[in-house]
Amino acid sequence: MNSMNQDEIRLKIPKLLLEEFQKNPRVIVKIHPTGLLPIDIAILKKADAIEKMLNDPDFRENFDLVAIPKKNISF
Amino acid sequence: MGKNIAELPFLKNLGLMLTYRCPVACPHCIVEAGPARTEEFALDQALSLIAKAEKYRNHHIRGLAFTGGEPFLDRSKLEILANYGREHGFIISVVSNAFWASTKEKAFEILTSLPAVGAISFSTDRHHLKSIPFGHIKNAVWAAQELDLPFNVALCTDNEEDSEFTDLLAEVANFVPKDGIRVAFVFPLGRGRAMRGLRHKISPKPSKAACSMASSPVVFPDGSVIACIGPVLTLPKNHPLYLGNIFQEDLAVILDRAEENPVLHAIRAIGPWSLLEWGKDFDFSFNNTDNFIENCACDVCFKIFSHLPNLDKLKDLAIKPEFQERVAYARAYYLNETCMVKSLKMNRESSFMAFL
Repeated sequence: MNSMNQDEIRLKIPKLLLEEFQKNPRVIVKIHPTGLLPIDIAILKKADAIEKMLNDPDFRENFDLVAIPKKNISF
Repeated sequence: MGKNIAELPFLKNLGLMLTYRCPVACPHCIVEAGPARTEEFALDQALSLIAKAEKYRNHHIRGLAFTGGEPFLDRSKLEILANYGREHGFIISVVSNAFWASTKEKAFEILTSLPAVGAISFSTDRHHLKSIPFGHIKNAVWAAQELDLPFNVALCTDNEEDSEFTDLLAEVANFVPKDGIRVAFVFPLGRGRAMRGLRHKISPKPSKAACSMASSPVVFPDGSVIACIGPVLTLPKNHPLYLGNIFQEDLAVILDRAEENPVLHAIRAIGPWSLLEWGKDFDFSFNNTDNFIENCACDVCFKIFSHLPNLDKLKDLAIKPEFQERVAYARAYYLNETCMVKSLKMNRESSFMAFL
């Protein structure tokens, strides 16, 4: 995903760079500093999916949404 | 190109280091938090920062991660900030040592009083345990589970084979799923500088890992914005991961500049080791890079940035168009982030047009 915007573009990566990148697969850091809990990408994807659904005119025209309090949440 | 990227894109999360105050002063604390510290975000400063974060690129930032110190020390401020953040569309997470979870009932009551908090991380290790009993972590985890609140437990060690650490890990694994346990290194920095007998495994080779934490910058009470919450936060503010100060510049200016920071994005895309390797291709050789903590990408950054002559070399490297281009393509290849390639191409086209 492009962090600036989500427009798709086709890229032609220079051959030498491409070969270098292919030789060096990305390894994700296993141990890193504690002290910060960035949002979980899965939670973000769910939130985005709900937002997309709520903003979809077809959905809004055809469905009503019912919200139910979460377990153990009192008002 | 990198497909199915399973980590958070750049700047989707912003960390707020709310306070240096903490009920305990652990000997390994990298930010040297403790009961005697007074520096913290005033409520109005934090609210203003959240409002600015919301406006940034039309709500590009989606998560606010509160940390400290101990954010739960001032629970009313935490509640106000979490509610405000949630009302402004952010997903809120907090890090805590669970000092408040003396009983299951208390833990449940306190977490219930913070419905805007969407995820929580509990810190424990042999140093925390001297002041905060393990039962507190158990109570806090129980309450989070009861409330369906996503959580993890973060443990610190200087050596993953240390029996005290492996025993604690096994104990935590009795009630926390494996994917809910995070392990971090103790660094001989901050208050940890005074620690003796740290038993890191040392390697002549740098870790080959990329850094996902550098996607989430952290704002500190003095206004500093640092690209991550790793050991570089202990360095003077002259390294490439020091992004700016919100009391001197607008947050948007600082974050936009970070979007074009080739050193930062080399670290994110493929890892700080790439600075050493790619530097050679441009005749840059960095000092202080003979020994590294094994499997620790943070240590690679720290070793490079903590040596003053390296910083001058990095500045020169960062302005080389060929290096910028390599990093931009690496971002596109490994992270599916094409904005830097677009931006560089646009810049080149403008220069070309000007030349014509």
